Amino acid sequence: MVMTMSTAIHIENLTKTFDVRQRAPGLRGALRGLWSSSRQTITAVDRLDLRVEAGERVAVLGPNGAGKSTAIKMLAGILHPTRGHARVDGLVPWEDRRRLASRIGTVFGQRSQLWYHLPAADTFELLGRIYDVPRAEFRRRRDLLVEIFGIGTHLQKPVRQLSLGQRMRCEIVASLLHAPSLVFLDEPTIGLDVSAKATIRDVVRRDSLAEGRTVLLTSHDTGDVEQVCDRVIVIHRGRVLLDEPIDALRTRYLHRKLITLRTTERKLELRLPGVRTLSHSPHRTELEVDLSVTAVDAVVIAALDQTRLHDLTIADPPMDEVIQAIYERAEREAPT
Amino acid sequence: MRAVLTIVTLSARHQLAERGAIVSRAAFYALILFVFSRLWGAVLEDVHELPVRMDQLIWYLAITEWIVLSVPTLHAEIEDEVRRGDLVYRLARPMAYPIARLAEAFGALLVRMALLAVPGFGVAWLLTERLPTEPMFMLWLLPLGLCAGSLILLMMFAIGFTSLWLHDCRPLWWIWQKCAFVLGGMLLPLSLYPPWLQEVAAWTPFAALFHGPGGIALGVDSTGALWALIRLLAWLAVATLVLTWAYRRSVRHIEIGGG
Repeated sequence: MVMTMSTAIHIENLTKTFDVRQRAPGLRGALRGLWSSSRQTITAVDRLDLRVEAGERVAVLGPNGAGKSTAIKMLAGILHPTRGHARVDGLVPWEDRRRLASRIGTVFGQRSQLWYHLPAADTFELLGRIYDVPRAEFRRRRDLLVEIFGIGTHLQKPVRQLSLGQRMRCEIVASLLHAPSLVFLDEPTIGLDVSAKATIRDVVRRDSLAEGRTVLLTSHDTGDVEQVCDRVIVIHRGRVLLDEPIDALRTRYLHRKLITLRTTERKLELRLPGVRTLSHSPHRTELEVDLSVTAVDAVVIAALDQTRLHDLTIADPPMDEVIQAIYERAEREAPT
Repeated sequence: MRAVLTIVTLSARHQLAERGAIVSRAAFYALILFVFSRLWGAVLEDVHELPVRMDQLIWYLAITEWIVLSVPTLHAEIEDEVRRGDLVYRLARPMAYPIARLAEAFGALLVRMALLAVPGFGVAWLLTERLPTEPMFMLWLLPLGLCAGSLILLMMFAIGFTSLWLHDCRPLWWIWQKCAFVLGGMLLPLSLYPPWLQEVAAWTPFAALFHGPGGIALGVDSTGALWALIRLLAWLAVATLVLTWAYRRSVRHIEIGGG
């Protein structure tokens, strides 16, 4: 396995299978299952190959049951693979779990490591001890992170009194106190309001850029993916289905643009191949353009033939649609 | 070691914040003592040849209930972590899971023991109008109670961890409770049992857990108290060894089969 100094994660042929007990349906099956059951082997991760360089922000996406969590558990050293190799920050995770634990941080949106009735500052203190961070270094890092994440005023309040957004910022600070070189973020913005989500995304990205920290993000919220990460890996049925920069993902998977026109005329009627009107209101028209059929400039020229333009916006389709398209294509192409 | 002490301290402070739970336990504790004092009062009116006095029985009950009510429900917390899938993530920490979990539970145990002693022993004193022994001799309850509580925590940890295989550890917990009740002599001192049952109970950790510390109420001397402590320490050593072995096997199970 070739691993350069700047490689944060290197996976080769990583495979994990589980033996799952199968029970026949119905009452008879349940009774029979009391003394006998058949077993089925499920492949959760199937010959996964992956390389993530240090400092990269990578989103790992996939539908439920795709194998994301299993892969991350193996990368954290919690699960042993059935086959294959992996190195995380130069360590084999399942052989050096304790050492690796000091080099990685984990944030799970649906799990908390903060003590509910106590101020977050107390949990930070404890984590500083658990990760054996020298005291001066701990105080320096804590103060820095508290400033970056803007939680200074919440530090001494019991966690139960914090809002979900404040709590999540504290969770992330807690996971970064030992200066991990790699952080796993699992649904870090789940349940948060729009403003709190934006804050979390912003501070995570800024922290990663400032510290050169590698981020591995799993989320069903495509806003997280777009605003934190530069690269997307889509896992489906345990395999890497796609591995691309986010910008390339859109152009490759959706040959469409959304164009919004604000016009002097009340209504705009465009009859061009590959152009569909999505919504209409007085002086405003929203179009979807299939770029493989009609170019954007042709749409603008056609619009200018009919009216003057007050404003023109060209946007990519929402990330949700991109991901959905990838999953659907994978389902269609997957062997049955 | 500092990390462990920090966990114990934080857990103690966390426990202090759960006032409602402590108050309800204290009320339950006082109620039990009152009900059983009436029950024993009725029994002793008919049975006169018992080798223990009424006040000794009430203090015995106060001590055994003090121990059992002070222990947090660690088995249920671990089962919950197994079910929610949190356990596997807690393994990805530099500190061993059992040490972190037991330190946390020990912090809660310390606070509960301190806080429950006040209403429990207070009610026992009100009911009997006396202490079971010399006030200084009652200090034996500190090491005995802490060792007994710690041993229960180890047992609870093991029971909670079985949820990895059984998915539901309540049946085992139910069996544990019954064994503690009968073989530990929680309802009445083992010295009142038939000799054969006393011998059986003496070979189990339950006798050391409850009858040992409860002996303070039955007039044991300092040698008896010391032996009760030695028995508890021996069982603690055995339980630690068994738990370490079982935990390692369990972690292997998680590493291969997932949590």
